[in-house]
Amino acid sequence: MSKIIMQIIKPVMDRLTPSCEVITQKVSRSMDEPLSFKERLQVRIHLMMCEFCTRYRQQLLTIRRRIQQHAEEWEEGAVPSEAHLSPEAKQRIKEKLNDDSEV
Amino acid sequence: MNSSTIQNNETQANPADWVDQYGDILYRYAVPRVASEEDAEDLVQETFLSALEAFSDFRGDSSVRTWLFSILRRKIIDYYRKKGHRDDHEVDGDYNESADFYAEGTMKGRWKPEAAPRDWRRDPEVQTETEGFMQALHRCINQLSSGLAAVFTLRELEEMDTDSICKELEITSSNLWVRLHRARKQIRKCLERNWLRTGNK
Repeated sequence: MSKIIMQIIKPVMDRLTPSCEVITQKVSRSMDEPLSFKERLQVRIHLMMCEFCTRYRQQLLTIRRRIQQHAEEWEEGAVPSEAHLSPEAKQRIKEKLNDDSEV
Repeated sequence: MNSSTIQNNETQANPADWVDQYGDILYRYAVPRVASEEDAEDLVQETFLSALEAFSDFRGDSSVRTWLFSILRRKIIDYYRKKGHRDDHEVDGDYNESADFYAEGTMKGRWKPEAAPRDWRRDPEVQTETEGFMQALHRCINQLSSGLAAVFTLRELEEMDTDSICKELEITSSNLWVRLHRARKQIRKCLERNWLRTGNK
């Protein structure tokens, strides 16, 4: 059944919007600058018919949102982190600072 | 003790004390943004050295912490300026841009089933803690070529605007779009494979 629908829809879809390969590029660019009206329309029509590109877009946005969320938690000091400068590195930096301040 | 004395004490503190006070937090900021822990250490060291040099310019308008962070962020941009300023060949790496899509036939330009994005919504990892996500993301960024890692880090982690990135890396905006597109595509795929269970199906 879905095969028949695809056979009807696909030629229409091909004519209306560029391929997934092109749409993924536009989806990426839309995260950095506004697309033209025509491009927005192409992307929107494509996404209505393409589950994979819809996921693709949502996932790029999820990645961005998670990074921002992490940055906010970090600002609030809510991120537990074990990472620290080794005592040797601290010592080395202090010595460097002392050398430089005496010059 | 009033606040101006505190400020005074803080600004006159021995620069070596900064290392104890701010070293770890600067280091933690730098680690996910650069390729290795050694690079992060180097950037923190350079930050303190520049701070010492510029100390006479420091007016105490901002806190020492804010001031040190602004120096570190500048160091991160410079780091990528050196690494990310490469020709297009370097940016491409071995990555085959079109491998995820059918190259010909009626399905030309459409997702191949094995490359198509999986459904992340059913994956519990997507909803849970950020720290695991950041670690996975860091590993994925490290797998990018330096030209792609540069633009992704500056755009998505440092949240720089695209004009500034083009200016710093001395690249055109169309080159930036291409790089960001490739970086995001590879990062998405890498996260799906290495972070999410959906990728194992």
